[in-house]
Amino acid sequence: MSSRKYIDIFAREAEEHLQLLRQGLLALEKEGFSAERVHVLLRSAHTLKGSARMLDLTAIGQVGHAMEDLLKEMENGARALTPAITDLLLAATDILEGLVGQAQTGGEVTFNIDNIVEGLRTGVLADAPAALAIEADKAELTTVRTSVAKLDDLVNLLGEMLISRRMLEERRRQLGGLMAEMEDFVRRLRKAENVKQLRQMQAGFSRLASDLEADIQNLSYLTQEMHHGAMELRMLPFSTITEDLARMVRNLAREQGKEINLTISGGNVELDRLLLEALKPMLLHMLRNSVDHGIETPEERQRTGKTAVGRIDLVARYEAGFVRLRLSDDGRGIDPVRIREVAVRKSLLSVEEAACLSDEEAVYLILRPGFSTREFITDVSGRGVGMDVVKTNIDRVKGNLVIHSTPGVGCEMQLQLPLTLAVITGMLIECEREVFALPLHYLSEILRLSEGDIHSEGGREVVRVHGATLPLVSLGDILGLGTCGGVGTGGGKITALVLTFREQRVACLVGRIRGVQELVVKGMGKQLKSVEYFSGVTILGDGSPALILSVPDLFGASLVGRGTQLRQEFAERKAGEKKGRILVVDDSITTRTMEKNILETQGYTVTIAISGEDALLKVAAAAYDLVVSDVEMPGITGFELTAKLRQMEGTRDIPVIIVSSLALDEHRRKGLEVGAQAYIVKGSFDQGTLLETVQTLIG
Amino acid sequence: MAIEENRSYDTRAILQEMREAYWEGIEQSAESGAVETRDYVVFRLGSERFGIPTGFAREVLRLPRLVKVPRLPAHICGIVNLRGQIQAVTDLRPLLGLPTTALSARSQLIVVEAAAITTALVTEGVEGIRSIPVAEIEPITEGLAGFPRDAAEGHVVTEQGLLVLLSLEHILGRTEFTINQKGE
Repeated sequence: MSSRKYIDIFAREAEEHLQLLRQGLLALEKEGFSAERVHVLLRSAHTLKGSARMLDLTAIGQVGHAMEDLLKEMENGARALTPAITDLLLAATDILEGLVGQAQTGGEVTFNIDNIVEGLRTGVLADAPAALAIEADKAELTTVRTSVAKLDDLVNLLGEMLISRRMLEERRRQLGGLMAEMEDFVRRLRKAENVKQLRQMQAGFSRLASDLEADIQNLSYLTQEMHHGAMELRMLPFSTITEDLARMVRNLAREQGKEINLTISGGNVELDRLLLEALKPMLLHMLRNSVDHGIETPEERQRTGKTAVGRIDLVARYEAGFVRLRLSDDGRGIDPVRIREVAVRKSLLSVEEAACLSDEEAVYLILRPGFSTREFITDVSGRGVGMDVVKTNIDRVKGNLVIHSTPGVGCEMQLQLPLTLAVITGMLIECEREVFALPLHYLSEILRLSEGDIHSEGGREVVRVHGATLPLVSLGDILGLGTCGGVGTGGGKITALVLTFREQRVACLVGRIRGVQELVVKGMGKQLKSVEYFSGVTILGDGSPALILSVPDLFGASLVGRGTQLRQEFAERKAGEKKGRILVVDDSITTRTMEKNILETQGYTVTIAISGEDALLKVAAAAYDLVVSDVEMPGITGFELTAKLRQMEGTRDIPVIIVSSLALDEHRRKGLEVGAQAYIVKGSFDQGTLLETVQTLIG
Repeated sequence: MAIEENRSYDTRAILQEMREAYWEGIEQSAESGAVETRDYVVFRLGSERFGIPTGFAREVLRLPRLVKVPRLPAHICGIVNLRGQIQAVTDLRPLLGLPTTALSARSQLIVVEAAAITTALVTEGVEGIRSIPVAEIEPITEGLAGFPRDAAEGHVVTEQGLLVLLSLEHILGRTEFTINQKGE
């Protein structure tokens, strides 16, 4: 009766019991012998044996039976609990797991069943099964509960739905725009009947628009709920991967003759399955490092006045949209002097570069590829791969790693991770008309800088923020796009984002900030496997892609880049400012070009507006010292423009010169009435008159 | 036929043409009996005409909003959103030694799948599908400075001039067409 279906059911049952066995055995060792604890194990072994026999899975039955016998002897005190026995039982558990896997999926079994059965009988394992891989049960993460692939599809589709929803919102905005245009049109209609009809249509439109708005709201709410729901389905508790970690630490410590007490808390913290998969190898390496390099031998510990038993704590906890993992040990810590020596010896950096690093910075050298402080290669760590794997994985999952170490006292590593990989909260920024997304958790502050905030240090520009000095880099420079967010000719301040990565901070100049959004993260496809400065792509509301910036890469670039030249730019702008900024408004390209050239040769900074409306936008965006305007233009006239400028706060005092071909006195009078300071007739127009007038007004 | 229907309306006309050309090709080959032919998607690039085997082409579409990816070599133009999937866009002109003028409204993309990657090829217009008798394919002219010989299967002489048949497997199999800057 060992049909597929029963085997699957058995496999699920067995998985539970194997887990109970492992946890039980480790608890037994840590907390000491008790008959009840052993009894729980006994029951699991017994159940496994029974179920296996029903399905004619003889080998599992045999091992289960031998295990049961051994446990029975322990329960009634005939056999003492020793570390060797625990090892043996753990090995048997591994073998059972292998056998269950084999029963389920087929395949070869590479170890000798009789050997382990004999071992369980005598209490001595003749031939330890060669490293029954700690990472053996990767399958567990991909096969639990339901088809993960289907779930992922679902989440992807929901991601698409979020995008469609945003496009719908965009359409709503467009509709609003059209309605406003219609309103303008209605005002200009003269026939009462037409107005009436159009008003009726408008009422219809506005009902439609508000219904649409309500529908979008509703849809928004539903998609969000569904998305969260689907995301939660993908979440698994942290404890899914910790069991193996505990195993590994225990085995390793025993091999090296160290005594270690590992405590893991926060096992119920739930994380995205993909994240857990990435996290496991990271934690394995970090723990290996702790055991191998961190915790000292009991003798050494006692010599330095510590307890013989070393302590490693692994804590997971939620923190406003993130998960923070803290791995701390009370070992010897990381010695920055030694780290520098090794890094120099391995040619990872020069002696001078090493000397420039602070102790805190030096510690991060262990993340460099090729770095390993062990003189000889061990099985465990010391192969020079390891911590750089951690770094790669962290960058991949957009996490952040902070290392604190006190030599002789211990080491603490903190991993900050997003809850999920599929959606990030990002800030959209513009740089040279391109839109980029920045994962929000790297951002610590937005700065609005003016000249006084920028200082020069060793030829590089820096900013002072809350008493600290940060290097200043420009996103446009790093990406080779040009000087986005530079000083420009406008009067305003410049925007810089303070980015944080591994306790380092840098101020990064960007163009404009567009706002913060939930972004669905997508890969760049097979052709673009990995691209420097970017970690993925998202799709904006209008359907166009936007690249997601990789902050670790930006930091890498900021170390070698030439930095910014803002002080120089400010100085240049100032030189221009001394002569004043002038806005020239004229619909004729000839006139405005002529005026621009005349004024610029005299050192004024000139901006062009092609209509009155354009001019109003320009004065709202930047500050000007003077406006030179034509009268007759499409849209509002120069008179109307002047009147508007006089009404508006902030532009009330900007002098206006009107340059027009209208030569009648009544026009001049009109000009002065609306508030212009001067009126030049184009007929009499020559360079001298204009320049003289400008000079009289603004010097 | 490997070319999928695309939603944008102007592709419909092209597809119709292609379809006709395709059936014509079939009829012709049925009439002429034993003549072996191969089908190529014919497109313009730098005022020359090129063909790629239809088997590699998945769809033809108008150039959607193209987002440049900073600091990438010239033969990767950027990325586009293809119904929710991000697709890299490849420009063959630098490889083929053709001038890279700005893309116009007539530019079209051919989404192709070859050498284990999917990419969208930039063209200056897709002409349609053409059946080419295998016997008429000549080896590429020898001694073309700068032209990578293994990038082409050969050429054929048509009434509109030379048509160079590209070997997509060779071209996209080149390491520079897969970007892996961080070596992951």
